Amino acid sequence: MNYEIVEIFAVVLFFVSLFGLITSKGVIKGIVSIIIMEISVVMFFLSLGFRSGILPPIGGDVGQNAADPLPQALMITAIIIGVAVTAVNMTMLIALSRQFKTTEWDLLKKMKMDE
Amino acid sequence: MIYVLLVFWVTSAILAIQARKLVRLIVYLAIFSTISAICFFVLGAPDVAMAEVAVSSFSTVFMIVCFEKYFTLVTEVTPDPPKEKIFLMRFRKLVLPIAFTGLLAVLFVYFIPEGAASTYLRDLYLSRFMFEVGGENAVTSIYLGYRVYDTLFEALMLLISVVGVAHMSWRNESEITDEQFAGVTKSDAVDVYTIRIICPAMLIFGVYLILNGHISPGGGFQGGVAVASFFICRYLIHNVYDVRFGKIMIFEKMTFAAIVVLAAVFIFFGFYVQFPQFRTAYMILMNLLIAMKVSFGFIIIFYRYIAFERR
Amino acid sequence: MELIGNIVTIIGLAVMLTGVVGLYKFKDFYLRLLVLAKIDTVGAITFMIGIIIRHGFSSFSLKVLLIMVLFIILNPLTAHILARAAYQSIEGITEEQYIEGYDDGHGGK
Repeated sequence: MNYEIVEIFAVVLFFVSLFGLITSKGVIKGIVSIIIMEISVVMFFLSLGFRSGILPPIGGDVGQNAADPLPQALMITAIIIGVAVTAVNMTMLIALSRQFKTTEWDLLKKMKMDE
Repeated sequence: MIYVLLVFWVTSAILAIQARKLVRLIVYLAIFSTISAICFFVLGAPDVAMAEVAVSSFSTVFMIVCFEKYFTLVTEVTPDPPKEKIFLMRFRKLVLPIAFTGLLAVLFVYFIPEGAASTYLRDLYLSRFMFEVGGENAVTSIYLGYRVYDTLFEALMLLISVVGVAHMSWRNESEITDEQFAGVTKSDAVDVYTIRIICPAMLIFGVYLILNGHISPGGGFQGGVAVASFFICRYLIHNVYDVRFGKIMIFEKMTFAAIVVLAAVFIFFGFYVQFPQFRTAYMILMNLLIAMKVSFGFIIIFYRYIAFERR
Repeated sequence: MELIGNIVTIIGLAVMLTGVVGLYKFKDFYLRLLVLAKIDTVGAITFMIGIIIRHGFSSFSLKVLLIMVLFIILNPLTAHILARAAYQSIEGITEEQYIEGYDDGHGGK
């Protein structure tokens, strides 16, 4: 198998944060896991075709040493969308805690059953 | 060098995931974002590194503001179970997630294609972007030329999330009175005078990033976030809430419409081919509009949090 | 010229190293803050002066000089804000507040 080490790190971190998302007791840990998952995906995309001595794709004379510009252009938009999603998540967290006085999955489930 | 950085990266992420206290969680996340920005720079992506740094500082501010409010609201929590039961509960609650995650990981490793990534698109873009789109930064040329749909839908996504934040805040009035600000801690004289010295430098840096986005690292997104941080400084200096929400939201929507119209006129109607002398002007104008869009969005989110979610 | 620059850089790194040792040695918050300010101002600025001496007068060293000016302005500000926030933090986020589901019964809310 022909994997780069950076990609392996990114994939491992993705699954670690997925594990954190599954085992989270409340909403805050879920939000944090989603942030980390998103950044690990960004790292995976950027590391495609990585080799030592790589240069930024700026200017016309970088030639074969240039990094791949396409994932970078996609990932800038992904990062901005990520912070927008984080802001919406935070607002939902505050709204949830204002309405139910708690943000734990178990207590929320219990309250929903009681209604 | 990148491998050492990656070890720290994974370590800080795992510490953030398993942290039990909120202060440590925020600090670990900030460390994680900074290290990932350095990693992006080493991987040859200075644009993404800039975006990550700017955005992570903003999300740290959002988190601090929101969690401060969270602790005043949440009253019901379950206490920890007694110690002899913890082990059994953890065993039961860990086996299934570990199995599920391991299954997904195995599937991922099994289905991922082997071999090196294709370099066809990279070579195509790198050899032709200067003649077809213009500019010297390949990343900016791609997201303003070849892949302008992505930029449009990203702007739409940001608009929708801003509308969501404004809708889900606890009251829908767009004005706020001075009494609701009575409890907020004021900045003292040292803060105010130092920030007054720093403020113009931040604004100049943001405008520099925007206007030079097509020939150097930077661009609309990063410059927009830098300009939005100038308005955070404005809040820190004056401690007043005099932003008219309705007007800024209308401005944001008009900016989005302008982005769509400009891209449609230039890209889809073929003006790009007919008037090659306007290409640089198009890129600068588009970067400027994107920066206005992004900074309006961040200003709205920040002031909404400060005004409605803080106290 | 390069030798002098290297020596100054190493002096800056040594100051940073002693600062890190001090961070682990002190337990009080204000003492840690003192050490942190030393790392940020003395260590980083000496380091940058060493880099400027090494590279001579060029556009690169001008950029480093700009960063240095920002450091000189901003570091006292951050130290001041941290100290003031620690002094005033009777309410707000403190170290005793736990995340959801990890409460031990008496800390936090």
